[in-house]
Amino acid sequence: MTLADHWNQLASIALLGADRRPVPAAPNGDIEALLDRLDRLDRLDRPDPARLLLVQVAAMSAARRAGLRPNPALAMLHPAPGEQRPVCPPLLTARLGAVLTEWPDLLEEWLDGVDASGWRLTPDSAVGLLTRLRVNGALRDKTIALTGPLATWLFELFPAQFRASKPSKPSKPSKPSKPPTPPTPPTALTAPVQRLVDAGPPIPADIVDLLDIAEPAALADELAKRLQTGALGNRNRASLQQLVRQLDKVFLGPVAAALERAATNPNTMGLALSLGDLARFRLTMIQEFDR
Amino acid sequence: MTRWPVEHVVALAADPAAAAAAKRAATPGSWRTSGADDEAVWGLYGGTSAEPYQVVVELQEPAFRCSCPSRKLPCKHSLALMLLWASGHVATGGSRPAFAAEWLSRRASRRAAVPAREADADPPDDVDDSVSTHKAARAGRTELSPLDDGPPPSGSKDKRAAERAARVSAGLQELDRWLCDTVRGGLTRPDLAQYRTWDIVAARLVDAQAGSLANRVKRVAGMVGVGAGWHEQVLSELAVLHLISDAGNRLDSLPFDLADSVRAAIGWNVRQADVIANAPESGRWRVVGRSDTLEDRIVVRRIWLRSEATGRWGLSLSFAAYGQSLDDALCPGIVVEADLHRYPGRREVRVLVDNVVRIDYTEDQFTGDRVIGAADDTSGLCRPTTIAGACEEIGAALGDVPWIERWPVEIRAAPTLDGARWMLTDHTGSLPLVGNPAAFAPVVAESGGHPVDVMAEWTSAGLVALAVAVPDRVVDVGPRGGFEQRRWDRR
Repeated sequence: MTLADHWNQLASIALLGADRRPVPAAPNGDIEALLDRLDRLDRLDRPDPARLLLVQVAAMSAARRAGLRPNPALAMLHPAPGEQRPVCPPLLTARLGAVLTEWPDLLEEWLDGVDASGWRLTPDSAVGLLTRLRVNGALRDKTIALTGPLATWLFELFPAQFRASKPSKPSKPSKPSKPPTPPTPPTALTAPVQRLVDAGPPIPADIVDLLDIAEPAALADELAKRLQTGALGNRNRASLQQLVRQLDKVFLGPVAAALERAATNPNTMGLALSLGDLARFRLTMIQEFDR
Repeated sequence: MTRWPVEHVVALAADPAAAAAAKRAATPGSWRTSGADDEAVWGLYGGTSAEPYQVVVELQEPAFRCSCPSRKLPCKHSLALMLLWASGHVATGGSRPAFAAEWLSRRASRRAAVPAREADADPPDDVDDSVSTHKAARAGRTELSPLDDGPPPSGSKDKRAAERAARVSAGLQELDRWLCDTVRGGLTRPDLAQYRTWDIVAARLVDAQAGSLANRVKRVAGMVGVGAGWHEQVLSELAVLHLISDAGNRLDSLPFDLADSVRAAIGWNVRQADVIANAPESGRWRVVGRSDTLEDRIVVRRIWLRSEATGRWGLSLSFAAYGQSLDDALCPGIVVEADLHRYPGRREVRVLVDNVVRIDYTEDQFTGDRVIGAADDTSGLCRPTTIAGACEEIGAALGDVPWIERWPVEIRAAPTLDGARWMLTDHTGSLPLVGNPAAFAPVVAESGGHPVDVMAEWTSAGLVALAVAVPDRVVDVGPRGGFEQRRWDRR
């Protein structure tokens, strides 16, 4: 009887119960020697079948584990198609984690930054984002584009994990030959402020007058003053966050500094600190892309 | 006490997310009441909960208590309260409310009772307690074991040890009787399919102060009826339990190192002070993998380290009960200069990490809280072996200590599919991958179908991938104790 046969016999007996079937003696050879070495058989003068079963299984389990063998080698997967773009640097990949944790609304700007720099996502970033963005069509499409052919390869291997919850609309192809006509800016606006107006949705009416201020330091001071005096408060939180998200980078440093200085009004202190944090965070992110 | 600067408060945050959240909560309008004196700051945070959160901060240590369910320590409410206090928005001089007075007096009495305890032992069973965890972590002591004993009072030491030995011995004998009864009646007994049956056995082992065995019994419960060959796996585990209980009753006849391993498998505690007293293994250690598993409402974090000089393994364990956060100082990919104090036992990998200094990072390499690569090793992991080589390493360890439940390996192999099952394969063979299937995707993505360096834990069910090394970084893919979706929130 081979050791494998003996093991199968012990397993069957354990399934049915040691009281229902006799437990066979250990086969000659290594297991018997192991049991002898363990001084177990001598101690079992009147062996209880259950104890005898456990002792033999313990010795065989130990031997089987110690003799762990690999399964036969398998064919490898068809490799993922190659990709020309360099992978996104570690510093920016780490920034993505912070974006998702602290300011997820900046994800689109981060993805655009990667795209503009000519990089592709690291594979683990791609997996994380594709898992997370199963319902957001536009961001999902950007992620797929930045992942490259690896995305299709992963979809085939993990269809359930990456299946979109609803069909995402394909992004409209850009028309570089004919850029859209920008809205006519107020005459007092400087170039950075124009970029702000062009970059995203219109700034809400409750704070739109801030855009009349062209100087970064002046805008920052005015914003801080309004928060300090209570003219702006938590009711304007969404608008203010949108403003900071769309400000040109030259505004972000002064705004962050002014808001942190201004965090003295008990009613708006949390908002001011939070907005200051957003400004500083976004500035750091942009500077990392600029490196 | 002099008010702290805001930067000082922000520096206490466990991570940037906590600091940002605290800033948002630092609005006086959100606090129903607040106050401070020379020793403490307290407040009731309105938040979105029906009941306000009770927040107390003891300034001297500092120590934090908050009734919110956050796992972070300090939580955002504690930090927000400190931010308000630091910016002068908390009135001083009022009387302490009951919740603050009670907690502060409990701390004071405990300090008076065991003045030396904080120096070398874990925080006691008061799970809301303090930044001692962080202090230990910052001092390189990532251990936070709710199971370890502090020093017993002098005079009663021998008596208590004898009493405990008797309790453990009785517990082991009772376990052995139960094991015999179980195989006598057969593994198809209906009651074995109920967790309650195993929980009762585990509870008796806990009573007998054999906590590790109790946990092992609970893990076996989860194997019953799972998969085609479940009875063979359950039988093996029962036999291993029998082996440990038998060995535990004849410790005196075993070699010292094996006896220590048996004690550890049973759940005998080793005082951290005794471990620290051992000569350390000093040098550069690579943090190669991390896993968080939820065991009986306690998150157990395993951090695997590997010596650059010797290739020896070290396993740092830390624990977090509900409401506590785990230390993130050692994350996969970093290299540290540290003293590792090894627990006693044959093939013992568990260590206490002391005097930790991060090395080899520059601004370009340092990204958030991880260090990319090391000066003399661009792979991030060292000495990857083949599948067959890994089997040899695992077999050698199991040959020495048959009840080992997990063993670390570094393998260069490619993930592939065998039917619907994910495997790691190379020219020498293949081994199955187990765990959350969602965790396989990053491994597969990083490989692109080619061999890749994987750090994994061997378990009897298969390999659990913890990290993948790529040329410029190490990707942490280890389990997150049921919080896999938060992987991206922790980076």
